[in-house]
Parts: sequence; structure tokens; C-alpha cells
Amino acid sequence: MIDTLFLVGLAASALRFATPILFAALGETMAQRSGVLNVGLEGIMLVGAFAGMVGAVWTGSPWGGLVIAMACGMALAGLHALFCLTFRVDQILSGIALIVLGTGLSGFGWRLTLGGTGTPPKAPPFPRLDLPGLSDLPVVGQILFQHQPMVYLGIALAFALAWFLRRTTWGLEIRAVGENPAAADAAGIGVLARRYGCVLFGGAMAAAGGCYLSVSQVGGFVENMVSGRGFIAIACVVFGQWRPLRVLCAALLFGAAEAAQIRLQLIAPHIPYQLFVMMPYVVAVAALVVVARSTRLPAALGRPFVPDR
Amino acid sequence: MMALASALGVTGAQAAEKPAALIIAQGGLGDQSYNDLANAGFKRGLEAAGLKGRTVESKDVVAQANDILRRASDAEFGLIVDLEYSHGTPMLEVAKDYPNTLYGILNQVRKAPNIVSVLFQEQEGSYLAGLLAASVTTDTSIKGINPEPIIGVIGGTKSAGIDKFIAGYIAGAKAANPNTQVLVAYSNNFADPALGQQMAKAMFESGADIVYHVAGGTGMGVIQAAKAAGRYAIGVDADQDGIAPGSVLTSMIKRTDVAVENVVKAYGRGEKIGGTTMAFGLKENGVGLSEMKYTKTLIPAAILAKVEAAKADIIEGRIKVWNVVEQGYPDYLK
Repeated sequence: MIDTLFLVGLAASALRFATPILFAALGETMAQRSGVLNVGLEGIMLVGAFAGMVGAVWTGSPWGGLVIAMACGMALAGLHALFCLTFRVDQILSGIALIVLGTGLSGFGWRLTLGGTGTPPKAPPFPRLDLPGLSDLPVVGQILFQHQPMVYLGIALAFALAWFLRRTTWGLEIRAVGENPAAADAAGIGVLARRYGCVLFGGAMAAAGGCYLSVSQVGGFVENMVSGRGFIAIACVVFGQWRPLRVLCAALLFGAAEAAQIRLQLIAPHIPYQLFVMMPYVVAVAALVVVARSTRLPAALGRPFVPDR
Repeated sequence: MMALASALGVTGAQAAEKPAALIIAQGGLGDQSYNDLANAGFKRGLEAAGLKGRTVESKDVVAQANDILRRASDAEFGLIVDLEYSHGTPMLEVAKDYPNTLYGILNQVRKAPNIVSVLFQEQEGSYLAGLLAASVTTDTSIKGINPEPIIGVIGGTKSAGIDKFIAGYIAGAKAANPNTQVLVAYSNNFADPALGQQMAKAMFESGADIVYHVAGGTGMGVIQAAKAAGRYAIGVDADQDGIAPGSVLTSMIKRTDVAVENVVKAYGRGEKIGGTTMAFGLKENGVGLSEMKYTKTLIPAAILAKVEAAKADIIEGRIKVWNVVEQGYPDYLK
């Protein structure tokens, strides 16, 4: 059963599994590089999934849904920023509150809006973005160039952020704020402003990941549909060592493990399926153990900044 | 009325007056499936019996089983129907302390004088779904069907309660065509439609053209994948044919509404149903295939006739479908 068709399906499926995690992980990378930990991605992704679906139905466009999802994600992340940065609440506590809040808001909101209507709503789907010429290539075309636009956007975003962090003044300032906020402050860089910006960006991206799940992939919302992807995204940030391109690889690895496990279930029905279901998590744990030795977190991660004056 | 009854010396059945409660399971109202369906039957039952009632929802319905049951019991409900599967054991304990309250539990048998157990013969409906799928899967005159005798099924988790459906489905498929290959996979999650979509896609890529899901919200993705690939899904629990008209071959409907309605009505009439088990199969209209509103015209009449014949055979007892919960695992699903 393992042939070209199988491998093509596997690789394409890995990309689809990776995309929602990638968006959330890239946003979190920026927040953490600026020194703010947000463990509430799961909650923001759920709100993004819900708001994206409602937005797509209301505006009649999947892009409208994406914009509304990102706005709602920023609102939630804004709350996190307010608590952590302005009121200096413990970042983990605030993040956990966000998970609970996001789970409740999305479930309740769904029932108040479209969920209570009985018939499932029809959201306009993203069109499949075929690239002329490329999509028709055998194997490569089928793996890489027959996806919905958000898959390409996610990959492009990883490259853009890698460039942004490394090559731009703003990128340098964000890194400085995450490593040594006191020095950055002394150099006249607004620490809180940079951090607010990064946390809000992280919220928008996590919500975009959720929106991909509901609007782009499923065309519907189910309570708790994010199913732990928000936590996997945080693992990807660490595994990717806070570098966008490595985070991309981490997300792809996780996607590949998930895509492989559902196919192995079909090929080897006599092996208990729990073994395969475990695979992505085993990969995640193994990967973290491998990189943990050489990992250095942003020095000021999780610490509130108190201006010294 | 009561005075009249006692004056006439009528004893025994007395119409119940205390209100009824329906405890909603994980997933909550609005799931367009199990809970919503049960609630519809609950409302019909209340209306028919002229009773008052309310639904009870909790965010942490599993962990707070005892609290929820006791609070409902203290609130003077005469009947408490509980949709949450994990409440079976706590219910046994709570029911002891409230002997005058009648409890109802679904999909399991709990032995107590004031608990009524409700069982569904899901294997019977699933048998029909498998029979239909295996008959359709080689008929290339139908749009989107390939010649290979391969069909699939996705379960939410590996447990006797889910494998009861799957075993029935496989049995029905083999009855239609012994050469049918049934791909079986488990999502390990009842609320991950994106995973369900990718799993169904993998099955379609492996040559399956019809995939049955027994996986709650995860199944939303199975239906979506069928629609996107131009293949077919089979829905479960509720009539899911309308979610993607033309892409859902049929739905194996579990009439939780019929069951809850009947329990409420029996309670309303004052019948002594405590301590009994009520079984709902094809015969009781407790399970069955949907009316196939959008797909009936696609399916050859001979196949539909075959399904009807099998249904009659099961109702008359000429076919006995394997029940994993009562009989354990059959050889073809170890």
C-alpha cells in the first residue's frame, strides 16, 4: 500500500495538519521573543475558530471571517497584555484564564449565534489556490501546490518573520526587549509598547490558526474543536528555538507525525491504534528532549518589566 | 380526580405530577446530534404527559457528576433522565439516597429499583448501513463510486459502545458482499473535525468511497471530506443527511428522542418502570436509517429493496446482529 500516491497524500496531509499549529506558533514566537509568555493560545484559537465561522457567514466571505477572527484574537490577547504588562499579573495564570475564557466564549457564542439555528450554517469556503503550471506538476504539484491560500500564507509568514527579526530595526528592538529590557529602555526603546505589539500580533495569529480549522478546513464549528493544538504550538516554539524557520520545521514535523499515524492505522489494523495515536506526542516529547540541552530562552521571558526610574 | 380515583378504589398507576429534568451530556445543547435530539424527545414527552420540566447543563459535566445529580434530586424533580454516559456509577449511589425519585440512564444497564435503563440496538441500524454501503460501493453507475469493494468506518474511540456500531456495520457489509474490505480507524477524539476530515481523506485515497463515522463532532469533518472529494459519508445519531445534501449517503439514526419521549410518557402515566431495561431497536423505531431525502434517487431500487428486506428479517428475528456489548468481540473485529 506504500506507493507514490500514499506518500503524496501523506505529505499534503502533513501540510494541512501543520498549518493551524504554524500560525499559532509563529505568533507565540514573536510574543516570547519580546519576553511575554502566552500559554492561552488554545483559548484564542477556539475564539478564532468560532469568530471566523460567524464572520464568514455574516460577511459572506472567508476573508471577512479571517479579519473578524483576527480582531477577536487581538481583543483576547489585549486582555492578556493588559493583565501581564500593565498590571503585572503572573503570565501563566493569565494564560490559563485565557484558555478557560476562550473555551467558554466560543462555545457560548456559537450557541447564541449560528449553533442554535438547527441547520448547520453554510460558510463560503476559501477557494483552492491553484498556481498555473505548478499545480499540474506530478507529485510535487500535488503535494505543494494544491492547497487553500492560508497554507501558503503560513509558510510565507515564517520566512517574513525570520527576515523581520533578523534584518529590521523593529526586529532588533523586539529581541532586545526580550533579552534585556532595562538596557533597551535605557536606549530609549519603549519596552511595553513593543511587548503589547507582539502579544497582539500573537493573538491575531493564534486566531487565524483557529479560523483555518473552522472556515478553511472543516466549514463548521464544533465546541473544543482546537483539541490541544494550542499546546502543541507552544511546544513547537520551544522545539523551534524561537526562530521562525525552525518553528516552521517543528510544525511540519508534528503535521507529518499526525498524517502518518492516521495512515498507519489503515495499513496495520492488527496493531493497537493507540500506539499510532501516541506518535505525534512521542515525537513532540522526543524533540523537546533533544533540543532542551542547547536551548536558551529569551532571557526576560515571563518577567514583568518595571521601569527603573 | 385523585379523590375520585380513591373513591372508586383504583390503586396502582397514578399519573405523576412532579416535574422532570434532563441532564445534558458533554458537548452540550446545540450539538445538532445526541443532546439536541434527546431534548426534542424530552419536550414532546413533557407535552404529551402534561408535565413541566427543564434541562440541566454544566460545563464540567463529567467531573461534577455527584453534585449535578444531587442538586437535581434535591430540586424535587420526580424524574431525572441523564444523558451523560459517565454518570452511570454515580447515579447508583445517588439513587439510593432518593428512593422516591425515578432516574433514567442511557446506553447502559444500572440495576436499582428506581433506575430505568435505556439501551439501543445500534448494531441493527449499523448493519443496514453496512449492507447499503457494501452494495453501493461496487456500483459504478452511481456518481463518485469506484469499482473496488472498499468502504471505511471511523470510530471516536475504541470501546465496546463504539465497536457495537462498527461490528454491525462490518457484518452488514459482509452480508452484502463477502469480499468487501472495511477500513477501520479511530480518531481518539469526539470533537476534532479537522482530524476527522484528514482521516476520511486518507481513506478515500486508499480506495474507499463511502465512510461511516461514529465519532460525534469529529464526524463533521468526515462529511466535509466526502463533499470535497465527491464521495460519500454515512452520518450517525441524528439525521445528518442535510449537512451536505447528496454527499451523505444515509444516516444511522439513533432515536434518542423516541427513547426519552417514551420514558417521560411512561413516567407521566405513572407506570412502574424503575428497575427495568427498555430496549430500542429497529422494531421499536429506536434505530434505523434516515429517509435518504437527497440520495434516494441515486441508489438503484434493487439495493434499497435489499435493505428493506434485511430490516424486515431483523425485526422478525430471522437475522440476529452481533452485539459487542453483550457478546464480546467477534472474530472479524478483534
